[in-house]
Amino acid sequence: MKNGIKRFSPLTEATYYILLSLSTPLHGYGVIKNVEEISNGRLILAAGTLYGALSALLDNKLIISVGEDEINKRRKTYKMTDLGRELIYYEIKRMQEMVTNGIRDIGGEL
Amino acid sequence: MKKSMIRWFYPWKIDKEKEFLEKQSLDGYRLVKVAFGRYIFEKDIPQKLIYQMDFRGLGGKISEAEYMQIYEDAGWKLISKANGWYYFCQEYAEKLDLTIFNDNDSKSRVYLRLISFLLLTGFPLYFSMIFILPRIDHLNYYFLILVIMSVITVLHLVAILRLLNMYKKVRSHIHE
Repeated sequence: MKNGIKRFSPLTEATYYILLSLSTPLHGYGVIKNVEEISNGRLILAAGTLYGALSALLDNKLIISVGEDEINKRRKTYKMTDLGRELIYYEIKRMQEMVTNGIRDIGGEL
Repeated sequence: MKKSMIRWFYPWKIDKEKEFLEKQSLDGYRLVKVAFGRYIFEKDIPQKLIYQMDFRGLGGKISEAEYMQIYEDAGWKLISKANGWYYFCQEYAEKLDLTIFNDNDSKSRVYLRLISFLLLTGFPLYFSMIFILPRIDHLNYYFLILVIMSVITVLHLVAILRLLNMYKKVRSHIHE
């Protein structure tokens, strides 16, 4: 596996959406709002999960800190790295396979 | 009016701690500070408050200021911090999901942070048990020191094992 990103897979739903949100630079609060929006209000990120995921993503160099919010400097801004992007691609392909197989086998009953 | 209570907190029983604090708020006592096993409450109207505790430990790449900001952004008010623990509170609202963890993966990491914190702080303890104790056996109080040190070591080991057990328990409920 290229750069060993396979070891991070499968991501939890929360981590997947946090990493995905950081394809554009955002701070923690921005990530919460974005995930809430793209999941149509289904997934509200909890503070401890967000903190834990950001720490782990930083430690594994899947995201980097790119600055801070102009209004509130305690809010740091993060962005996905190339490695993070590779991981997202890998996860999309993996989940696409799951969806394709699911629809093929029992999709008619949906 | 203030009320002070001394209580032993077992880090592998976070839910019990949460229950205790929430019961106090229903009885009209709002937590204002936690320090050295002492809980200080202030008399207030009886209300339903939700408490959450998180152990940040030695921290990582994310600063404490940012950590607290993340909680604040999610609606949590920091009440107190004690020995690496952060006590957060929020008023109960029916429509809000007042958890601090979405999944068992992140929930289990609290135990991992606790275990690594204990291992790190326990290092001087084990070092002195192995290297210092055998060299001071000529001292008058050697036996007393030995007993005290042994008790601390056993408690330390028990805590690590209990936390490891909780970690495994939470991890076993992970379903992708």
